[in-house]
Formats: sequence, C-alpha cells, structure tokens
Amino acid sequence: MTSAKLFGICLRICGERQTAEDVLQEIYLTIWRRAPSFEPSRGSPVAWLATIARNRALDWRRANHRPALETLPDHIGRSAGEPADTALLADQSLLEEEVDTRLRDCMEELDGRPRAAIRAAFLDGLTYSELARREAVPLATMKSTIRRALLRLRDCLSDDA
Amino acid sequence: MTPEERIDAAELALGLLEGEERVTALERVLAEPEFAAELAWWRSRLEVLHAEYGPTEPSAALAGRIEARIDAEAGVTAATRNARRWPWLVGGLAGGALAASLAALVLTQTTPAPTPVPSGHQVEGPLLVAALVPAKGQVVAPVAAVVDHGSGIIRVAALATPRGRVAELWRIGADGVPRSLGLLAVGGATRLTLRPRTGPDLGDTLAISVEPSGGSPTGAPTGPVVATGVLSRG
Repeated sequence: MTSAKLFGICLRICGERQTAEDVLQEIYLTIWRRAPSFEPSRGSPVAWLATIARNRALDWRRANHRPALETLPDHIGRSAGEPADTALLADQSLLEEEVDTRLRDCMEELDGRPRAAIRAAFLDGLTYSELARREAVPLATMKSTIRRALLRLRDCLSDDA
Repeated sequence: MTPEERIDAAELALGLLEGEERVTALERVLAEPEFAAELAWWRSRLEVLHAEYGPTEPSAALAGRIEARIDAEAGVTAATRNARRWPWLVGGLAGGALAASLAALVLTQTTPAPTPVPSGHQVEGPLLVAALVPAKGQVVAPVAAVVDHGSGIIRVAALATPRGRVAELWRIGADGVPRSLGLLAVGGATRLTLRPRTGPDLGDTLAISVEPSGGSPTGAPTGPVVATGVLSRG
C-alpha cells in the first residue's frame, strides 16, 4: 500500500485536500501508536492500514460539519449513480492475494440502486440520511431498500461459506 | 441472532448510522458479544472494498510533517528531514523462524531516483516503517520502527524490558549475520543515527534482543530475541 492509496481514502471521504492531508497525518500517528495492538493472526497489515485510514476519515466527517449535498465532490454524486461505477476495480497493488471474489459476486446479484448505495456508504462514508437526500427519497425508503439488500447480501455471503 | 439484528451490525460496519442510532449500535457492540462478532464478520467481508479507492499523491511536504509529528510524539528532537521522500508502501510478510509474522511499511521517494552523494550529506532514500512483532514464545507487544534510509536515522517506539536489562536493535542482512544498530532507550522511544548508507535495506530483518546492561558483550545477540520483522516492499 502506498501513501497515495491511504491519501486516496482520506480524500474521497473528507472531500478536500487540506483536510485529507491533516487526516493522513493522524493516520500515520495512529499507526505509530497502535502498532503494539496489531494482531498478525487477525488479518493482513494492508487491511489493517486501510481500515485505520477509513475509520479516521469517517471520524473526521462525523466530528465536523458534513458537506451539504450541493458541495459534495463530484465523484460522490457520481459513484452511486453511474452503472459503470458499480464494476469493482481491483487495485493490483493492494489485496492482490486476498481479493474476495465472494463479496464481488454477491454484490453483483443485488439490484443496481441498493448496490450503488452500499458502495457509496462504504467508499464515500455516506450515511442513510445523506443517501436519501442525494437520491431524493424519504429516509425510511432508503433504509428499507438498503436493509433488504443487506439481508440478501448476508444470505449470499453465508451460502457455502 | 435474528437476520434483522445481523443487518443492524451491517449498518454499523458500513457507516450508515449517525447520531443516536449510531450510539445505540455502538453500545450493543460493547454489551452483546454476538453483535460484536457479527460486526467483525461484516467488516472482514467488506474489507475487499478498500481496493476500490484510487490512489492520489499527497503533497511532497507532508512526509516531513509526519516525521516531525512522530518525533514530537516520541519525545525526540526533530530529525533531518527530506521533503521529497514519499510515498509509504506497506508489505505484509510471511513470518520466518523467529517471527510470528510481521508488518512493514516502506516509504520510498517518488522522484527522482536516489542520487548518491558524499557521506555526511542527506541521501535520498526510502523511509521504512516496520512493526516488529513478537518472536515465537515471546510476550512483548509489537513495536513500530521507522527507518530513514537517507539520513540513517532509526526511530523505535518504546519497548518494555526487564529491570537491569536493555533492548538491543539488530540488523540481519542477506548474509544472515546480526549487526548491532544500537541500544534502545529504557522507558521511552529511541532515535538512533547510523552512519550513512549502512542500512538496513529492504529485505533486511530488524530484530530486538534483551541484553545485559550496556548491551551484548559479544557483538552478537546473547539474550532472547523478543521481536523481529522484515522490511519489504510487499
């Protein structure tokens, strides 16, 4: 994993460069502090780093004023809408030996809309209310749509597991 | 656990919840082991999505700022820094005979290629970060180490040692011979300055042994090797 990859996570979730750089600094500090708690038996260091990066970026979003819908970076608006974006793009340099095709296959079985919403929740850090605003649907509708999709995803991931 | 409850955990793993709902879910993680296990299940399944984040280069100056923060955190004075070093790479490595396993972060510059300069000057080179993990049978916690290959400065996080003993840091290169890099501070982080370009390099093993006060009397590790990790590009 490169710093560019970690920075890519920060930038996508935080939405602006300066903030993303501040968050990236915190991420490296966190790695420095938390190395003692890393458990090699519980996962790869790559996933550990990416998880720290995403969590710190999400912490920032929660603690700060979230961007209004109008000011969300273009990629956020795009990511849930365009069909092309639903294709999973594996980064060859990352997770090369641990690509979980199972999740990919199961995501593909979902309808396009909830699939895009689930991806946007994970990758962009969007919450139910942000997804509902963006799709211009009632919050309750967004929730039930996603929950139904997650149930299907859970079933699919459990099959033959 | 009902299917609905499993989806509650998925919502938390995805980051869909906010405010009260999120607080309630987090409380369940603490109170209900089954819920916590379901959350962990979802997180490990979703991990693969990390691969979809595209890389973006941060500014070149950021590496220096991060090093300064680590120095401040570790209580050592600011090191010689080189703002052009970047980016960090990480590699997970298979454990050797001594290592339970290890994690290593590797920092290399993007541009330009390293230019050898006379010793005593700054040298462009990779900045390596490793988590040294316990050797088999040892109970120490993993320790982070940052190696600035250019300036020859190694920073190692604090490591607990038995009273009257010291921790000694070793580099084991391709020849398999341990060479002492120095003693670690007792009760705090350490910064060691090596002669320029004496490594360690990618692929070298860093190891920490517990030695008598004053360090190994023989020039080779005499006490137990408590932690070890290999620097690699993964």
